[in-house]
Amino acid sequence: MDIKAPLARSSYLWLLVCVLLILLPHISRLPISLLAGYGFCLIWRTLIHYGKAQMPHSLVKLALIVIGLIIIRKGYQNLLGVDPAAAFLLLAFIFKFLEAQRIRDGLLVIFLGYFCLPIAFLFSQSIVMTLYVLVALTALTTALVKIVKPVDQSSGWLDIKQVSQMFVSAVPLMLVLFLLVPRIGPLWSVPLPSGQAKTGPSDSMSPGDIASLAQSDGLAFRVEFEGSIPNTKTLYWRGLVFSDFDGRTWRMGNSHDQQRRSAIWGNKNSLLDNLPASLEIKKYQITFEPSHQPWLYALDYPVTSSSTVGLTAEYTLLAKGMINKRSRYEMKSSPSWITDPILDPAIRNHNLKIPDSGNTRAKQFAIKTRLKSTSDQQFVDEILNYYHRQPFYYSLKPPRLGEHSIDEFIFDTRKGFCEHYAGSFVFLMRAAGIPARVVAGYQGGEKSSEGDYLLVHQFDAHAWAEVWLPNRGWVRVDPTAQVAPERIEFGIEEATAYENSFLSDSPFSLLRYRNNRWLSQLRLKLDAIEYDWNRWVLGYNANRQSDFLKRYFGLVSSEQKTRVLIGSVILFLIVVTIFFTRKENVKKSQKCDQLYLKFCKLMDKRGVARGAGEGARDYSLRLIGRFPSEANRISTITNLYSYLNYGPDMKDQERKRILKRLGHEITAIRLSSDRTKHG
Amino acid sequence: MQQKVQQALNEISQVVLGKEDKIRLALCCLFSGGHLLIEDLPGMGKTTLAHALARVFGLSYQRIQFTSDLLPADVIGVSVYSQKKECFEFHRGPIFSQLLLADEINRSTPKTQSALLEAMEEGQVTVEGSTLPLPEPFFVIATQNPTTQTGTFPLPESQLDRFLMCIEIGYPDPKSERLLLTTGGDRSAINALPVCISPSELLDIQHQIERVKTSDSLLDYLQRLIAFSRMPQRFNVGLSPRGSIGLLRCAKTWAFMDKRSYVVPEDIQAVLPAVVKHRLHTGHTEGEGGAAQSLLTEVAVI
Repeated sequence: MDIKAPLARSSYLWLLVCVLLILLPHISRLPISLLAGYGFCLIWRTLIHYGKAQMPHSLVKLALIVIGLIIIRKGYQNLLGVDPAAAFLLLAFIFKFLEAQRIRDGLLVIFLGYFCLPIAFLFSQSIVMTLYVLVALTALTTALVKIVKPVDQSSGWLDIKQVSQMFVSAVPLMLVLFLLVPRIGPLWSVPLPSGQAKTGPSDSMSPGDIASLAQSDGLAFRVEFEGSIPNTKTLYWRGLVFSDFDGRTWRMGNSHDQQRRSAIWGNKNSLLDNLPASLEIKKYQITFEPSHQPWLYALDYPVTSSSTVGLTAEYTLLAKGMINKRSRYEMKSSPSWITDPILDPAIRNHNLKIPDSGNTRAKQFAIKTRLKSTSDQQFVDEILNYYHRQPFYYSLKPPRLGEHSIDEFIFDTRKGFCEHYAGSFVFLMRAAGIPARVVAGYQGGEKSSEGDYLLVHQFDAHAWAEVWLPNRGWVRVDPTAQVAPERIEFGIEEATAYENSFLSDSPFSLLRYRNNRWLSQLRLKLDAIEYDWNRWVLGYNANRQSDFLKRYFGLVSSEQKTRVLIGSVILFLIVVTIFFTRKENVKKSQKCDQLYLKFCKLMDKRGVARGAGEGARDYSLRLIGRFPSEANRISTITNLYSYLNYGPDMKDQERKRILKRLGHEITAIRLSSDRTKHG
Repeated sequence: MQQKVQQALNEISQVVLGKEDKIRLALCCLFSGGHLLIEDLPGMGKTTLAHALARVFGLSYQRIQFTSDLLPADVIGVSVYSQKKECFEFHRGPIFSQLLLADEINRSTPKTQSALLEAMEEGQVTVEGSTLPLPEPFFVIATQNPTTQTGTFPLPESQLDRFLMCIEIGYPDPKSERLLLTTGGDRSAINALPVCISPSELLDIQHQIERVKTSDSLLDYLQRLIAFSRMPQRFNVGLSPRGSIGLLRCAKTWAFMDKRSYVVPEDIQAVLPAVVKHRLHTGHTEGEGGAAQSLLTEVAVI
């Protein structure tokens, strides 16, 4: 194949399809100006294809590069990072496509395509994306076949079939590599896309925050229980504890840094050891979707920690850094554990603080009610009763509140979402002198199609209260349950059914149609597939690999593992090498050809190379002319070879004898040539 | 038997000076039982070579000088009314001989050319409904002037294919030319040539050639050559199966003439230019010799 020959016209369409397939996953992320630039190049190339435009002059190319760089600089604030780097690579790729004119350029475009295609994986690793990349890979390889094959031997579907066969035959190889190649951490890391939308509850809570979260159908995490899934009513996933209130917004008592420093890290199990053995312990595994926040979630009350999951003094979980990729952790919780039986006075004071001014009606109401009650417990029940009796409504669209938000909510509007109820309840408690705090997290979850795991969505976000009672420690109280018990039992959709506000911003979300049995089944089936994908493919990390090796190959010590891994990699490479060189061997299967070629190589080293079309006799004449002293040996070798290769049929025995003699002669001539070289 | 071949070669070399390689090819062609086309400028010794070949083989031979007004009947024969027998009598034309020398074949019209060429392929002539066999062996040695010369009708590819070989003689080297000038180009020397190979010996030789061994490796090489000649980017028309069979047959003869019982790639290479010259067309301007040359240098032997 002449790589300088012009690219066949039929290849152009395939290249264009490949370029578009590679661009497609990035379209939503790229700045408009850059997209326009890409489009400009593609249109230009198409015009060239139809003979309506000229190839860009080298000055024009230079100008295009400069303009492209300026656009990228403008589109992204900093040039370091995955996004601008991806945009730049794609730009270079498209420029190459623009000037693709010869077969060599076409090949380069394809190879660059192989490099640019996996860029999409930096942004999404879902099963859909994987399938998409596979399709694009098929198109790329088909285009490669198209370019390389002569025009008259190529036909669209046959080529695709050939490529598919290639892919299918590569599957075992891929599996071996996937399972056995050591998982090594990256040598360097690029700052991941910055400024991505954070999801889940944030570190503060104002009225309306959780209500807006409840409009999102995104997945927060999946939970797999050891044993049966507990009743939905008891599933309170605690994440954040808010203990500071300024009259409008609830904030965390300690900063993230403080929490991280005071948290328990490492798999010490100290908490668990100190717990009474009779306590009920629930074990479960959480696969957490990236939230770009540090908070992790667990059922009341988490009792273990690990090197990556810390347990704070407020019984919440914390990750080491921001959770930017899907992560998985195992957790144990004890629902009946009495936390903080004796409250530290500093914490007690902290959890009693309310702003001195404002919300006077609520304060007075709290004090009055407390005086009427005989105990703290009775007071809590009294307030809950108040929420139950008075016409409170659970609503995703509560009216806006003014300066005295608690007063207005409790006595006037009486329409609110869980944060209103939790916030106002804690305020009343604190006003009456009972330590209380707001806890934010998720409540409930949806069972998967097989019922083996639980899906917790963003709209399951919830806020509730905790009060500290003597001898009982922190006790969970959910005032929302008094107003909308269906929220706790069946989820937010039931609770807001009367006002039809569930996911009203996203009419196409499949989750809106949870009541349609068929759609619901379909959605859960898809999620089950995605969960398995995350668990078994994306989650196949170094730990899982060593588990796998231990389970199926009985390898425990790391030295053993290293040996076997290195061994298998070497074995694999050998097999591959044999596989790929076999074809050549078939061509030169005959031993005498191999021997003779060895002889030719020897003579080549001595300065006389055999032309491809030169027969053995002609070559020997040339050789004898050059090395008259070895004329005998050369002509013997040539005659033996000719006789073996072209001569009459002979018995195997004789063939072997002649072969042996040929081998001897060639060794002799090598030795003599070595001697002349050194001598 | 090879001595006789060598003797024939030597005898012809006495008449056609300094062209031993061409004579060898011509002999190879006749031993292979194929027709020979000699292409060259006028006066290069085409006719002399053809005469010498006929003499050395001891064949009955006739010569036709093709001209633009030559008719098929002039080649095949004509029926004449015999007053004595009171019926038409077929008078055999010059084609009824063991060796026909068709001089300047491309100077006649296509009609006459095809009359000859049909006889070449079939080995028989059909006249007025009756089929008449041609004598055994039957060879045609045709000469042709280069088609660039005026007054020529180029032979179509289909008819060129019927000649096993096409050779050019070329100018003699200075030494031979000097000898030629001193002896004065004695035509009578041809008639003095002895018969070296009788028709029965010729048949014997042809049988021996049949038994020359062709190994798998050699056939692999031959097939690579054929496949290469059929690459559409390189040649307009590839080698036909008739061409490839002829190539192998000539290679066998060449091996036989070289006193070997098996064919080596060099045998194919030796006869290849003469066999493919008139069958392959590169379509490029590099000349017809380029086609054979690229086959020889680009196709791997091993």
